[in-house]
Amino acid sequence: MKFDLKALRARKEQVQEAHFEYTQGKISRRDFLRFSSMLGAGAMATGLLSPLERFQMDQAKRLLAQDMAPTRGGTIVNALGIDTTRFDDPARLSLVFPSNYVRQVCDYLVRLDPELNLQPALAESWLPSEDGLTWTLTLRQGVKFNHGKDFNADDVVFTINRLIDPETASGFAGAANYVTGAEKVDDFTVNIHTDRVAADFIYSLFLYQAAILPADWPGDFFTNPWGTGPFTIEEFAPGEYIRFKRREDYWMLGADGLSLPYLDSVEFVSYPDELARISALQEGSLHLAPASITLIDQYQSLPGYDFKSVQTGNLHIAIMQFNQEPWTDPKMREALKLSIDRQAYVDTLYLGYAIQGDDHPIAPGMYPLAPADQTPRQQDYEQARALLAEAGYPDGIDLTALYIDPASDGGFTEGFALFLAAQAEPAGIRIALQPTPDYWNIWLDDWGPNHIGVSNWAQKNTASEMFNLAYRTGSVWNESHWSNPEFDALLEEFDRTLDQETRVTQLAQLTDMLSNDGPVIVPGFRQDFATMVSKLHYNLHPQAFVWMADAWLEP
Amino acid sequence: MLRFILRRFVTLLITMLALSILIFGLSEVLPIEPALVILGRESTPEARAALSEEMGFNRPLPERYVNWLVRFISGDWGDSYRLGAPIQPLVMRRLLNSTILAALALLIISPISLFLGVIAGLYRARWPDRAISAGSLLTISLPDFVVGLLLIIIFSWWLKLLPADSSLRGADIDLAQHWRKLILPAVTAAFVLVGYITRVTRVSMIEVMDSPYIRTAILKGLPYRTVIIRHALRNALIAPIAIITTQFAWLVGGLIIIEQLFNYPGLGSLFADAARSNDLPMIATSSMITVSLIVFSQVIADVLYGLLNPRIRFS
Repeated sequence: MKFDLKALRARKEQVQEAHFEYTQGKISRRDFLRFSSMLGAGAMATGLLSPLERFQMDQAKRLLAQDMAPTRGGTIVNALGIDTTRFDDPARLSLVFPSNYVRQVCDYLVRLDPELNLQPALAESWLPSEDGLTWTLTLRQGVKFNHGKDFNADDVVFTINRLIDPETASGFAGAANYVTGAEKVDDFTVNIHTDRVAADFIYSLFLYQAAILPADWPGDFFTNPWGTGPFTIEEFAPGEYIRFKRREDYWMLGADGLSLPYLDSVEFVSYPDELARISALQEGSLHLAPASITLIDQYQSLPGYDFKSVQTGNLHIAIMQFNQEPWTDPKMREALKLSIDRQAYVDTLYLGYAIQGDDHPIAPGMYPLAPADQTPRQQDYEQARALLAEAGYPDGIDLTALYIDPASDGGFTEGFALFLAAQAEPAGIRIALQPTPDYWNIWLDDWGPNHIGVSNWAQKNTASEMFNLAYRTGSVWNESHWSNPEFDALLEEFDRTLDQETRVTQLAQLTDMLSNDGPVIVPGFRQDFATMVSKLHYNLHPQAFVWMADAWLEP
Repeated sequence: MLRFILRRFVTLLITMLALSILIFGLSEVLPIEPALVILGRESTPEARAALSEEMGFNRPLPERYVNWLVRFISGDWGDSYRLGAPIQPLVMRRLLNSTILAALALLIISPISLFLGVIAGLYRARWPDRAISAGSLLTISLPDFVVGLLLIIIFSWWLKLLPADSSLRGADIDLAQHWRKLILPAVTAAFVLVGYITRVTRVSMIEVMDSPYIRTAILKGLPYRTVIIRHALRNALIAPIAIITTQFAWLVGGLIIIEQLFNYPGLGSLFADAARSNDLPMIATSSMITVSLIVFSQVIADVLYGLLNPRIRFS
């Protein structure tokens, strides 16, 4: 599709148009706000709210200021990082837990809040150029790094160019492979160039690896933990705990007009054993911890604690390799999909704390533009058996499921594998379970005929990121070896379209293609659980990001 | 005596050398690709190959073994793949924690089990023996996590006397500050061993009381008390003390479940985590440390045995 020059130039009109679409009910309110902030027009969008909405917003703000004014001080000990792992370079992060230590010390250019709305951080605003190949970022002024240096454009240029340097070997270079470089315009303006139009570019600035480091950073993060973020590292014992101390001169202000954070310090402590976590909660030496749904009764009976959950886009997945028998036959893919009762998945594995999936990874409400009215397949054994017979398997078929060994993920994947095998059996699909200790060595290989893979995925920032990682032909993590030229072409179009309504339609088409013809079963999207002291005001993030700057503790 | 000790030390060195070859060989045959563990699953094959080359994984096996052994002996234990940090300070920190916990556990175990064992041996087949034997059987059969949980429920949830969370903060363990956190894990560990050592002591006591020289002493008309204290105990305690010494290694390096239950930062959980996360250098180090602990405590037990037992002392 041709890139629409005019539409870009008339950004303001676009936002107004998007607002019109929103009032017409064509896009959701959240998508409207996301879209306007994506084009750097967040304030403009607020100006477009109806008088009633503005009144409600002001009301909320006033309530916040009067009754619920955050108080300062206190320490939060949390067990949200499963492991206190050391690493040298934020640019090489690949796991969310260590990235959460970076989040306390460094800032990103933008931030996805727990509502999944994009917020300005070190970048105050951003605008694409007319050809859509350059994004101009206006940076925040008056920000200081914790080692004393003033933040300016040099640091952004240093960070971005370092991320895309092959020497750095950053995951950023793969996930945002359209970024070709950053250049300083003046002290507080930076141009970032891309080699193709990437409508979701701005989200890439919140990839784990994109934490802004100062231009004079000498390397080794735990020796030189330099950043503009809300906390500094006070004490660190690898594998045991890490303690962060409040910074006095953080740039972001709280509701009381003073520098964030509200808390004096935050500790991440490793509690690998859930029983040990519960006894630490019981005696109050732990304030915030992940919780598993199977122990919900125990957590809910802890006095002074609240059990909280947050919907995520994290998923279990069953993979039918597209280039292997019998999955080359779409009837066989459909037959396996039809044998799953998705409500049973939600009820048995998550006691209802999950939503049904429609055999593609884009969870409703969890991604910008995601189709809201997803109607997953109903279980239909009769039709599944008929399809099997049509495909040449009147007596059913024997399969082997490869899945992540319970020793390495605590049985998290095995639970779904067992469920899948039990569900498929009555359709005549007999699945033998094969826990695979080296699953992550073989997950991208050809598994041979009559295999499925059972695994799981974390939510990504955008649908484009997910598809370009795992569903485009030949993409780096394409475990199902799915290849559909039509899908690839539409994905490319989706990536370069800036018109919001078109993108909504395109994404719906993409997810439909995956759902109808695709090589994966996504039975549902789970919620994440945590228990926290009732006095703590802290919002869980759907992507398991931890950012303690605006958390506060009632006295 | 000196020759005896010397001989034990030579045997020890040979044993450890053999075990080091075994440990090194084991980490060779494990299906773990170090570069993959370090760089993660999104790394490119080229980057992994380059790292393998850099880390010397392409050199001949004997050369690598000698390099590894020399570095290990000189105290350079490499970096942990999982934690990305040098192993030596991590292990030393945990070793100190574990040694303190083990010492505390032994302080509880020794007087109780020796006393009860002697009593049971003296009152063989009468009610004190029956009660002690039944009690020790009970503690032996209760697994450590059950004991730990019971203690947590009673002493920290119900009575709110002692903390169940034994995680530590600060550069090093500080007894003045942390002593309360040590009690429950130490008592749990003690619980598991106390029955076993009591039974060993009982058997040993019975054996000694049946021996001809005790009968002679009694027939000679020595007061019963003198016979027990001066003649019997000395010999009866040799075996239990030797066994207590060998258990020290287990208490230092093997308390995996107890450490996890109380979240106590000891060696056992460090090693267990290493095994779970394919952390080869840490696995190799932990195996070497555990083996050294066991072999050393065995030698110390032998030496103690020799010192206490005149038949060995004078031969």
